[in-house]
Amino acid sequence: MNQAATERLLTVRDLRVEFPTADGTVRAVDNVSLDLGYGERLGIVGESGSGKSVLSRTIMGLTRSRTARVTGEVILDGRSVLDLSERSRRSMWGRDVAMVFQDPLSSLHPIMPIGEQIAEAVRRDASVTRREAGARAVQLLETVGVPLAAQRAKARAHELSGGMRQRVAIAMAIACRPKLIIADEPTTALDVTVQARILDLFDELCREFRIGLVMISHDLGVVGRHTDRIAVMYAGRIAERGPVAHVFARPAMRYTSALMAAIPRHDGARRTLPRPIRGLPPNLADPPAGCRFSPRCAHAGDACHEAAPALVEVEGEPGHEYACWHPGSDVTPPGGAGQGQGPAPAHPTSSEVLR
Amino acid sequence: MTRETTRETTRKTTRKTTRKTTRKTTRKTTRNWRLARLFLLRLLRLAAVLFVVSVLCFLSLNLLPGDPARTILGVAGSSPEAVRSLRHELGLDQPLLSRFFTWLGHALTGDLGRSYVSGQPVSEIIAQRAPVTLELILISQLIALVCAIPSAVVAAAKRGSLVDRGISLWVFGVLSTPSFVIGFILIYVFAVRLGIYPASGYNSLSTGLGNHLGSLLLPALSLAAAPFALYQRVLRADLVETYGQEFMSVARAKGISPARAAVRHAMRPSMLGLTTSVGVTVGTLIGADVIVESLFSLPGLGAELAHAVSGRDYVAVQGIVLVITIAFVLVNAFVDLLYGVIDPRLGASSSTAGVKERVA
Repeated sequence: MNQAATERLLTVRDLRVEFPTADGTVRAVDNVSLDLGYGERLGIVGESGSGKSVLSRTIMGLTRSRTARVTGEVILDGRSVLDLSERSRRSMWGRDVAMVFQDPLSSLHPIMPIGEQIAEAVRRDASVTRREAGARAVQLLETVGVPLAAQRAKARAHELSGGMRQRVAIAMAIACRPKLIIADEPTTALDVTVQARILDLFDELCREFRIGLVMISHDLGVVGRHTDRIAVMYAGRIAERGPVAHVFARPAMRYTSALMAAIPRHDGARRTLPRPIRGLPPNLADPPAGCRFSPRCAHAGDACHEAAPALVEVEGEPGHEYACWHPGSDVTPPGGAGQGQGPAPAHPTSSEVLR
Repeated sequence: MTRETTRETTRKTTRKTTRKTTRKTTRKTTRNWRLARLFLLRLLRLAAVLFVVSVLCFLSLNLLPGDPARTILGVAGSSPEAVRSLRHELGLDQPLLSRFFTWLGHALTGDLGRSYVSGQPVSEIIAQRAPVTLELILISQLIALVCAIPSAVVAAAKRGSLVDRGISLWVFGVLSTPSFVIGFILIYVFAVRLGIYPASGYNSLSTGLGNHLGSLLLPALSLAAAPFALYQRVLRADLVETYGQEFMSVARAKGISPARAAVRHAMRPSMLGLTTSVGVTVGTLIGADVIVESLFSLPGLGAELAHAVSGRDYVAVQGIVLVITIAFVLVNAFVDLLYGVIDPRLGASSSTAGVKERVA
């Protein structure tokens, strides 16, 4: 294992995932590159159909070669995931990388008691006996904050509340102390109070066990409060990425700022209504030329319709990159529009969204 | 009567124990109550089904041309007087309805009457022949399930692959071949060509277990063929549906082996359709059983039924059909209970409703 491999938990290079369909080839993920350090938390934000879920499943190596064409590189903890055989991928799943899915009810087995499901993940290590695994499952349930864990272990998924179910799914994911957890919209199916507790749990686990986290969400607020860095995806490409504070303070790509403007705010002082983004995400079998956001963008010029912008770093903000011909933010109505980057004073949005 | 006893017990316990335990007892009693009611309802349903089947069977037999008295006497002895006196002796000169109710009254007391042809009590005939049929059906269903379950699991786990398509082709071949054709093929290959198993006839258990099972193997195989194909189709379809569920992706992402995922995760939620088909198939199997038993000349209920129908032996037919119906209803009541075991979410009372929705 070389030096470069040990310092990065996850490296994604020029990843491209295509699905051949009857209507043509759908490029769900297009030239995506990402980095993640050990114990670091990355948020991936985007509308439905922007390729977030496909990206996460590909990072895990879950996409089936029979249905998807995958090119590029995914290096997880020094191993190239895409070059591994199904068998070695399987040995990696659960141990090195685990996944938490969106709907905790459908992601848990309907009949098998939850304790048994967790114990099964524990027993990946062959040395663990059945009894030890059962005890460990109860312990894990306690770790994720399930009360009366010993009794609950015998329950089935339908007997638990939504929040409890997602805790069980998380217990299953951390059973073998993975280095990376990929959480695909882990709180979308939960109500807001439960959502906050589950997100806090993720924070705690990442800190305590130094687990790297890739959190996928369509909710900027969720990602902003609970991750270190953020990547905004649009139509299979990365539109903007960088440290959360920078992206929120000075969004450069027009899509990012449009997304922020679409969040309802309750700050009383300024009664700005959320501004929805007009139109629908493009059909990925036939994407628009140039910048993929251009048909919906209020600031699109000729250049936008002709060529796709590359990722450019924001001056003075290392790691904050955007792909836009006319960068800027229109979150603050007066003056702020136009050139949003630069050493502007702390933006009101950052405190609002991050609060 | 049960109701009163239960209430009495509840009252007694209530008086004796503290409030806490009372609540527990009451809850338990209500549950027992629900089970008792369920059981009674089942019993009523069984009685209703039996009555309807008896009526239909009796009426349809009387619509058939032919006269048992004539059949018994044969062409030579069929002088009008002889026929008339025999008809009187057998009670055939009574009106239809009175004949039916006489039979029903006797049947309720356990007397199924005597065969017109042999004069043997029908219950005795059934007692002699039912074990052969029961064994034949059990063995055939065992063979069908033992072949269908693994092939369905393999086909579903590798759906769309060459293996899956190969199995499908084979299954559709079997499904579209009538059981007697399969019987002929088996006789030709194993009895005529290879000479391993007898072409026909029955060896009772007293001739040795090997001989006994050997004489049942070929008929059981021909009887197993169509159910095997059906079970494989049903289970494969349910498994494929289960494989599409999120929890199977989760199981995969946990890193457990495909074999374990198939057996421990996919199987149980996919068993309901198969269970239903087994229950229904056992009922329809009697049709194939009649043919197979006649083909292999086995002394079972099916062969006897065919014999009784062609001899216009109404009483024997009635009795045999009654027994078959009871067996069918019992098997399906058992299947209803199995639903709750397979999927505990389907409680005892809601079991059938939930499953029917799912299966439909």
